[in-house]
Amino acid sequence: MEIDLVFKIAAVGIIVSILNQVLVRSGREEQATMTTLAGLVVVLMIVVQRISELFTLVKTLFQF
Amino acid sequence: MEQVFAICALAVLGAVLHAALRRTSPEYAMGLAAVCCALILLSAARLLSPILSFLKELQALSGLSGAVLSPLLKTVAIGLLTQISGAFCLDAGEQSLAKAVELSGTLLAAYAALPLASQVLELMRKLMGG
Repeated sequence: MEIDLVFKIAAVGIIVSILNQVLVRSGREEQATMTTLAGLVVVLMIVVQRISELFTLVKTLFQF
Repeated sequence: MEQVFAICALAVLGAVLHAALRRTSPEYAMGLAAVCCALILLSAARLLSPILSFLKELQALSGLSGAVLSPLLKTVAIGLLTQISGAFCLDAGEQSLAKAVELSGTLLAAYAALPLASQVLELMRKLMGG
């Protein structure tokens, strides 16, 4: 089981939230928003890959 | 047996990390929950293959055609997928989306079971001599 993926997403979340705080405090709201969006895209890429793998497995197993 | 421990450990780890992330960045918490669920289901679904091959063996023994078992399996798959997707939507606080997914799942399951229903209807028609 790929537990490292869970840690990876948690790490991305923590890093992005820290960056977001730093950027907001220094008055760069636009960059903070862009950082959050970029992190979200990275996380979504991981999530979508796993979910597509799950859907493919279900499709194969249940003869769709 | 080790798989049960791994699944439980992953679920607890996911719950702890979700609680840590929920306040500061809820969107990452949702992604984390989705990946945890996908990993758990992937590891459990791989064990489904021997069960399904046993079902096929039973089907071959009883002489049933594939047209009977296939809608049944499809309905089970639709139920599983819509249930987990609905749960994701509920987690995100989108009750209307969850209801829409569940309703669509019900309709799709009924559509997948339609060949079975028509076979039953045909059988009844033959029995009644119509």
